[in-house]
Amino acid sequence: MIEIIELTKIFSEKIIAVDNINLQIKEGKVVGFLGPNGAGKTTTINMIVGLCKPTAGKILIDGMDIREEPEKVKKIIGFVPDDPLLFEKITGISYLKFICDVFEVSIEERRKRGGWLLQAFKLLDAIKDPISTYSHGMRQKLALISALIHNPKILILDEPIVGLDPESASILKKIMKRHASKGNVVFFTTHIMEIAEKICDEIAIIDKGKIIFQGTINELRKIKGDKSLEQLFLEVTKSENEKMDFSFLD
Amino acid sequence: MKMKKWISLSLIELDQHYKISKNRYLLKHTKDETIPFFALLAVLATLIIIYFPFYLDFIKVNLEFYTLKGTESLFIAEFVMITGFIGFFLGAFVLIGEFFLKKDMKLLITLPLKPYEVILGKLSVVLCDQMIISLIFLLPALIYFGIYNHLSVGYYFSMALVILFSQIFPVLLVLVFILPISHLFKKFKNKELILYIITSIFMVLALIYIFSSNDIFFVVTKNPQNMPDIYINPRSIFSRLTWIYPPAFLAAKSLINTGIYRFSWTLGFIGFHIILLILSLYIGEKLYYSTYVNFLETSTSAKKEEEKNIDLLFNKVLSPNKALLKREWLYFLKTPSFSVNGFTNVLIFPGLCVLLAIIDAGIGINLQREIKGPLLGMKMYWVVIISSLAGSLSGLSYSCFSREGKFIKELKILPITSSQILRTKFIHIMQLSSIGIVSGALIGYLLFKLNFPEFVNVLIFSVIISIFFNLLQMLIDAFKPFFDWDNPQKAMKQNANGLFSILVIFGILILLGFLFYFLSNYTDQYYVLILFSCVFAVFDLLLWQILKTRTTNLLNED
Repeated sequence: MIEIIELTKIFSEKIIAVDNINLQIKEGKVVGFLGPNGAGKTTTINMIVGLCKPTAGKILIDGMDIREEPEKVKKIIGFVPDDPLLFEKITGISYLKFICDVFEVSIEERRKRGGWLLQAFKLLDAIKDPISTYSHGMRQKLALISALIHNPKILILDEPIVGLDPESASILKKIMKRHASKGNVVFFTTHIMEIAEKICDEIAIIDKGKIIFQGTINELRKIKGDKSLEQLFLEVTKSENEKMDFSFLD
Repeated sequence: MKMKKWISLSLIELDQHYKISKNRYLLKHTKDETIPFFALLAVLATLIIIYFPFYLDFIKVNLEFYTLKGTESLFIAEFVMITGFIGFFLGAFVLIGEFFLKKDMKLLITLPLKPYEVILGKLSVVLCDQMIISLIFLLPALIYFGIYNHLSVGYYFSMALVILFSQIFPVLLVLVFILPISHLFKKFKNKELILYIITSIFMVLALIYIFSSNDIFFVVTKNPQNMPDIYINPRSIFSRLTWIYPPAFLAAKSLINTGIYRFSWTLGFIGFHIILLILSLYIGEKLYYSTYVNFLETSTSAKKEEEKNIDLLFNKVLSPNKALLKREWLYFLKTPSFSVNGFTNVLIFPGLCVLLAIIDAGIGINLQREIKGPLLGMKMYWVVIISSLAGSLSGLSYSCFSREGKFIKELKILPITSSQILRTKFIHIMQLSSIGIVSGALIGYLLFKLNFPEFVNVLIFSVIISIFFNLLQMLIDAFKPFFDWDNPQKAMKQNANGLFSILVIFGILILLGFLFYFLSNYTDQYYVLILFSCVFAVFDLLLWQILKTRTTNLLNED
């Protein structure tokens, strides 16, 4: 379980990226983290995985504080950042082997899970090529495989669908669902409302650093009316796009 | 090309290169950023204060010497040439980085810009970087020349032009060499590495060329008996400059003459550079874009069926520590800017010593009597210097975290401790350093004819002090790593931590030399080194603890 308690991140006096948020993400659920650009999604995720330090508040992963037991916490997290961190000069397989070694994945598990994932994402043909030869989508697939190969209890994905072809996107959605159904946590950000609507058990909406909603989509509909998630999202984030004048394009 | 477009492109390139906008923003919003800035200024000021009196003395002695011989023009030519050679050697790798490894080309290539326009923009960045060499080495010499000879305003005007143009020739020379070479090897798999190696060979050839033409310059260091032969006909020697280093000849002519002659020679000096620039742009127009596109591309290979076998793909398991060390070596070897610099640096000091020994044996500059005599009194210390400098100035330790760049995030999210990361980095650095330590000690052993126990003693102390120096540099980097580089060359060569490190290391070595000399009066140098080994072994342990704490803090920072 991920517990975020009164979490705040202040970059400077003028920039409060995350403002005293509370979130609870339970096992067995796929939770979508939605919000406009610059709302604080990536900052929150970066704090969960240990990429940046909270100004105040606490993050507990399976009851452990990442600041007190960072290695133990990181060992159960699989993370795909918005911009995959892949050293371009090495081959895909070298990178996967490195990840497996660091996460101490057994050889049998590597072959079983790695083999399945490589085939599912159709990356087997290119896995011995340098990463620099990969397209954006292929890099995203490699990042996903490396996050999944060690069977993490907590799967955190920042914009995982971006760059994936429809088939891979569909496979990923199924993997996310199945991973959660086995008692794991899947926490991800997306700007594609259809995806959130389709696979999320719960959503959390963040705007200007504050959580403005957490619950199921049906619960949101009960409050705001029976509309599409996109309309609901635009409403709760007080979007002004309806009032915009697009005539300058004519 | 419209001037406005070129100015705009150059300004953008300079802004990105020196991070002007970013630093202005940071200085405005986070006051902490001012500390390293002022620290760097303090280091530079210290260096200038230490270096300037020596350099001024060097200029004075040279000018008096040339004036006495009636060959003042050779004084100007000498300094223009020295500045050019330094620019050539320091600028070659910077130019490769700027032209072929910098990521901004991916954007520039999509803009409606002609190759020569991009080349001009990039050249302005390289020339700005190189200008520091002219300001340090050439400007004081030419100002001193003007004051010494009570010259008119016209001289200073021509002098300003000579300084402004002084780096163009070496930079364009490298560019004219690199463009066809990169074009030739553009289809090769390891083209970056090939480019670095061929440029290194080019530089070695240039060194041999300079060495073979040293009967014109560096005469001050030669046997005084040879001097009259060289100065029998100074005019002919000066004329030979036209072929050896044309800008030095033209610069000297434009600064020595007066009136209309000065004006004409200055025009000739400028015209020569403009012709060379046009030639470079012409070659660049033909070759640059097509070569660069190939640098962006990497070929994929069709795989055989057996290579898709999962069991063969995942065939070996490493411990996390070994996997980290493998990563360290892979990232180092697969980035030519790192590997070429690293290997060159560990071999440069032993190499220079070998060169010195060859010169000594070959042309007989009487080192034995004049220099070796006092040197031999502290022979063990000198071997330690060669060995420890070779082992600790690899550039790896002061950039150990900086070289990670954005991949520092990778280290942060992996389930590994800061101690594991530190240990891995230290082992990697020491593995490479050992090449320098051992080769340095061996060369010193042969040069200074140490006996075996002395050699072992020197080797042990060199290892201990190299560990100390490497840990110290790692600590410097851990305090202010430079992650935000856009081409890997900058992580090593344009990292201010390197400047700090060199200053600190040389300071410690001077202090140690003094202590060694002082203690040698009371006991044998053999025992002095044993004492030093014990003291520095304790320092190593202390430094390790400090570095461990600092690394943990660094990895916890945002």
